[in-house]
Amino acid sequence: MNSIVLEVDNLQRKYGSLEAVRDISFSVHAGEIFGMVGPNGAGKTTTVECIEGLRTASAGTIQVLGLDPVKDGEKLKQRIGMQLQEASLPDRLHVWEAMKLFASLYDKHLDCDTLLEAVGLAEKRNTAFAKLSGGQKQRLFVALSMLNDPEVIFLDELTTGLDPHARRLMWELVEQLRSRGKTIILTTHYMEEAQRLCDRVAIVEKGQIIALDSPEALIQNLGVEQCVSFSIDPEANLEKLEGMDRVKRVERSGEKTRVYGADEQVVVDVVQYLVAEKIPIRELKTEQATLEDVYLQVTGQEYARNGGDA
Amino acid sequence: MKGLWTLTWIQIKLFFREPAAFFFTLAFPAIMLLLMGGIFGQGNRVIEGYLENYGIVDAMVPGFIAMVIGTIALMGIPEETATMREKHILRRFHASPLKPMTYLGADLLSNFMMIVVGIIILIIIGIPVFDLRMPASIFGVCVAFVYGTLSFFAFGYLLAALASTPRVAQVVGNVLYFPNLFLSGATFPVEIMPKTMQEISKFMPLTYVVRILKGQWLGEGWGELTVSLIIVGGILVVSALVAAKLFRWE
Repeated sequence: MNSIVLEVDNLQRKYGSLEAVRDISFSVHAGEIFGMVGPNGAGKTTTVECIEGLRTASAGTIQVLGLDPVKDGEKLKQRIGMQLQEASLPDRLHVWEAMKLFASLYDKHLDCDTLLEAVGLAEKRNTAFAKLSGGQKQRLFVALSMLNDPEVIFLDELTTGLDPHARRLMWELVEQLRSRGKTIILTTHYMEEAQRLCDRVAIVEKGQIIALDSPEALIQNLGVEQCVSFSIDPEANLEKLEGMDRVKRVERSGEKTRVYGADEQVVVDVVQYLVAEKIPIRELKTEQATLEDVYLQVTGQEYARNGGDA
Repeated sequence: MKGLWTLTWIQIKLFFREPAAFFFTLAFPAIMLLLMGGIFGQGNRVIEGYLENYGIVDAMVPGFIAMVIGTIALMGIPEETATMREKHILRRFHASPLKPMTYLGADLLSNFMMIVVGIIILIIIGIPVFDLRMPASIFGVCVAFVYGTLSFFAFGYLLAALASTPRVAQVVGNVLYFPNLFLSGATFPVEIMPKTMQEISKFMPLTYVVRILKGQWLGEGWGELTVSLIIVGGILVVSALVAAKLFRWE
């Protein structure tokens, strides 16, 4: 984490009377993976597209690698790469032709075949774009975004609409990019994805950032309860467990049992109790708070606050 | 202009993979020549000021050249460009350092080259089959061809920029194409039409492309084509300026 490669100050973007982006400021350091999460229409894509120079801001300033994305657009596009939420290529264009075409637009570029190999499309090089699966198309777009060996890469909803297997492949690609020191700005709907990949996450809602920190810090600050769940005989007596210090409450529904506690120690307490009482258990699981819990809580608060105002 | 030649080359390849474009640019004019030439024959007519002993096919071929120009400019370019925009293909280009002028330049060059191929096919068929005579001025025909093509292509890009969707582009293209095709002299000579139709043909922009092409093929002087040259030039300048100003990636 060292120099700042991207700085957004008080960005605003209006479409008529609609404020897609109300007021967004943040900065991203070299080598960082920065994530933006939030509901549809929150302004993530608009923000990213203003940074990429595909849209102009209504107000505010943006600097990427010291350049203005609109004024120095072509210069900047030589140094950044982007995968767009909505993009396509001519149906009959072959994979290798797409690579060759875009390669011809850059001052310098990586070897096309090596890159196709890296995204797992080497054997598809003579396939027409229309004949590729959704995941393959997305991998081609990722390859195109990496073609000029960019310093900053933008990935806008990289894995939306992909099956779990294709999604894992994408995550591996992003992790490879991270290990090569690239700065990445990504948007996603999947909290699991943001939690796994991002160094810092901004939760965006209604054109504003409502929380911004590392996934771990966001989760820690949330202060959600630890939960242990398991299945036992519905007749088993759990009265003493309910009386223990660390246990906040016990929920039972038939065999399914959930015990909530203040911290991780509650897991040990529950297991020790059940073993001591010789109660046979099945399907023991501990549930830790995830970024999704944070997301639901912060966006929920915002929802309630706005509801209250109205 | 980085990427101009690669994009031009790829557009040409895509053209050959698109059966409709291939047919209307390369096959259709040749079929028209065989049909119309077969029906009317070359024969011999003499009209004052024209190449001596020119035949009907000699007068038809420049019309067919104008027809191909009109087909690509009115039917091809607007819908194709609007489709590329609607399908977010142009958006992907916008995400790269490709300049709008490079994109338009490559698109224009590739279409242009395809028309040239179409014309060569016409001539290759025309000479042995119908005893087609070469133009009075090959240079003059080339100049007229480039001039007319640029003008109509610019008009095509203007329609593309104005059309909100590929559907609109297609409808507008069709509405303009068919009257131009039949009333400009591109398919039937204006000279054989009744007076009223001849008057109507004056409102068809393609008429003036036909005139300069035919004039140069049959040996008219540039001086006699002044009015047509000015009209075609007017379309070129206005369309190119407005189209360049209105160009949008999405």
